[in-house]
Amino acid sequence: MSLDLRLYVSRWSPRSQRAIAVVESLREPLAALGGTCEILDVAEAPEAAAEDRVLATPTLIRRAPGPPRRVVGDVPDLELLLDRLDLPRELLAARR
Amino acid sequence: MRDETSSGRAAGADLRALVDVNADGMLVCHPDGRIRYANPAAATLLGRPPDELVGQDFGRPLRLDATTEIDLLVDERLVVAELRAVETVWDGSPAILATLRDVTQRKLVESELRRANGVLQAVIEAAPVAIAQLDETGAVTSWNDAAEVMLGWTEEEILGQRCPLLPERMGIPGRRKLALEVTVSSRDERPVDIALHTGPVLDDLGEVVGIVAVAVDISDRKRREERVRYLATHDPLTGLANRRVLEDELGRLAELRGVPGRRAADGRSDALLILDLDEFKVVNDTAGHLAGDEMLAGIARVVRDSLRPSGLAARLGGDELAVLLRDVPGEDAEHVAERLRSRVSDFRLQRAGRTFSTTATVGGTLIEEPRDAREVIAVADLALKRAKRAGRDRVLILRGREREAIEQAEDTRWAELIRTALRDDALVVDHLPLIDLASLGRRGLELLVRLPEGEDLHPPATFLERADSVGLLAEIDLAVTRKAIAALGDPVALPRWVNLSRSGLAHDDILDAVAEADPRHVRGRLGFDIGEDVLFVEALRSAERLSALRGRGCSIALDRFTGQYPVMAGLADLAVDVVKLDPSLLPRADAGGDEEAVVRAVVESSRATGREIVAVGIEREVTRRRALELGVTMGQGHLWPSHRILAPG
Repeated sequence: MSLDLRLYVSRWSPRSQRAIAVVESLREPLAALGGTCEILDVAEAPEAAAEDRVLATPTLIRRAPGPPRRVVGDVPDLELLLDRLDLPRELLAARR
Repeated sequence: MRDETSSGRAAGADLRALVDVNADGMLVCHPDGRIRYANPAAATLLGRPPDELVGQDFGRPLRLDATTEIDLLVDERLVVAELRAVETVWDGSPAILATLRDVTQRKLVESELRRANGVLQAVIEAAPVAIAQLDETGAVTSWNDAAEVMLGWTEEEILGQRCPLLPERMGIPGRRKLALEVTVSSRDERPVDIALHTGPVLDDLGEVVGIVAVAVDISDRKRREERVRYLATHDPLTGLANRRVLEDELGRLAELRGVPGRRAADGRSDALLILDLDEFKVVNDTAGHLAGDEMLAGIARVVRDSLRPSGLAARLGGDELAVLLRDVPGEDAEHVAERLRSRVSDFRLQRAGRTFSTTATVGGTLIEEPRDAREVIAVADLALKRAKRAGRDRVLILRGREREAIEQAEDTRWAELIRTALRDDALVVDHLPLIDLASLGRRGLELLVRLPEGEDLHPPATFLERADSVGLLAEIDLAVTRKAIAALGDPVALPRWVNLSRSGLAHDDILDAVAEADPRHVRGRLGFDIGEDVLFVEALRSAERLSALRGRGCSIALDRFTGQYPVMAGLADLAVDVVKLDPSLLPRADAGGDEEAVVRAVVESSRATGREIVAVGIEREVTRRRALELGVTMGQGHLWPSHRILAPG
């Protein structure tokens, strides 16, 4: 499976900063599983944001595999994130 | 097929109505995050019309029943919103209800608040002055680095304790803003002089919720000031007081002894001795000036050590030392003088293998009446000269008749001085303001006369007695009265008060001067201060004169009221408008108990008879407040200094 994640942020907001930090910490484990995560700023990539119908930031979208799922808001808990987006548990283990 | 009862439909309709009117944005989503319904407020917040929102994937909030923050980009404007999601049922199926509240403003305010507080904290920490925050009980809630440097306590140690910047006996300032110099103790119990400023921190209702204390260490400045003061009052070689201090002290004693009731008890008096080293020049010539200085310093020490603490030793200059004895029995002057002579005679200076010594001659005088400082020194000096002529290494104290004879010569000199001053209209008049204690406005001016002699100005205490004994006091009173009347010619001039002596009151000239003056100037504006002893003792004789003065509209003040004469009856009968309390009364009131009751009774009875009360000699703010609290309405003293008019008239 190749995981394709996309995180939309408003770069200067503290909420977005926190989300970026979490996603950055997942980069390596994701790469190990053959996945990627793109971080986009809604102000700098408005077409992509419009195409993805992003209404608020931070919004994290799982584009593949499977039907798209997204979560919106502050990202406090990695486990919760994995659960909501149905992400493999291995990511969690790899991070530790 | 769903069951739709009519009440279910009604409930659903109510819910929808609530959601529609809510000021917060509300989204109803499927459990997977797709929007089913958006209220008008949500549409505004998300920047799209509701029908465009339906079906879009908003996203699943990560937590339910918890508040999170999200950013919304609406027309290029960043909006921060609080997002709260709960599980619910909508139209019969499970849904998630998400509330969006615009908190952008609040975030901005919070951010600004944090920034401002950050600046404040930075200032407090960087400041080179001690800054402490206290709660309303005076306990420390914050303590900066400079405070730690100043007093030694770290913030940890001092939190919760009474703030050490406040001196121990001081009350908690509370609402009062303080600005004063105090001495406090450091952690290792050293005294530290500081300039302390405090101010209250108030809440929205104006209640005191805290206090800020700021302090600067002024120890260095204090040390410098102390040094300057020391140099101004001491002779550097011997460490004794200098001539200036001696003269000031003699002057102070003269004023003190001039007040009835303050004279020394029978058989006791003050005394001034002048000690001169007989062989000083020889020592200087043979062993050099340094040796001479050393000898002088050594002898000065001997002299100082021979005196009781109440004695004052001073260096008059050259090889002359002076000793002032206060309130001693007559014979003591001789005993002390002899002891000094003997000890100086025994003193030895070892220098370059040789021994030096000297004898001393001591001349002195008892100060049996208030006398001018220069005059006292002159008489003591005369005694010294006589003793030297008689063979040195001896003591001669002038007292009684002999002293009087010498002083008589002085009297003649004074009479001349006074006559000349009167003739040339050279008397100097000081105007001491009469202050309303509550409003601090000036209600009048008391004229005090001083006699010039060369560069000096003699205060009333010293020359008025001389004037009285040579019969010139009434003339002085007349001259001052004329000046007062002349000044009152100006319609905006303050009321003037003239001190009237016994002889002045008895003299026709003063009555005539008042009678001849323009009544518009005098009526209600000219007053006479007359001593209690004069008014009570001369009561009968004075009655007629007082009545003549009052007939012209003059006011009369009872001066130096001590309450020692039969108070109540006498006071009520006296034709007096103002009562001036003797300076001894206020301190007596502070003694509490009976003393305070007496003073209050005096004030009350005066007030009851419609008179105003004046307290004199007020030098400090705290005394003013005390006087006001006792019922006194007016005051005079160094707190409100006098001013002088030098031009004649």
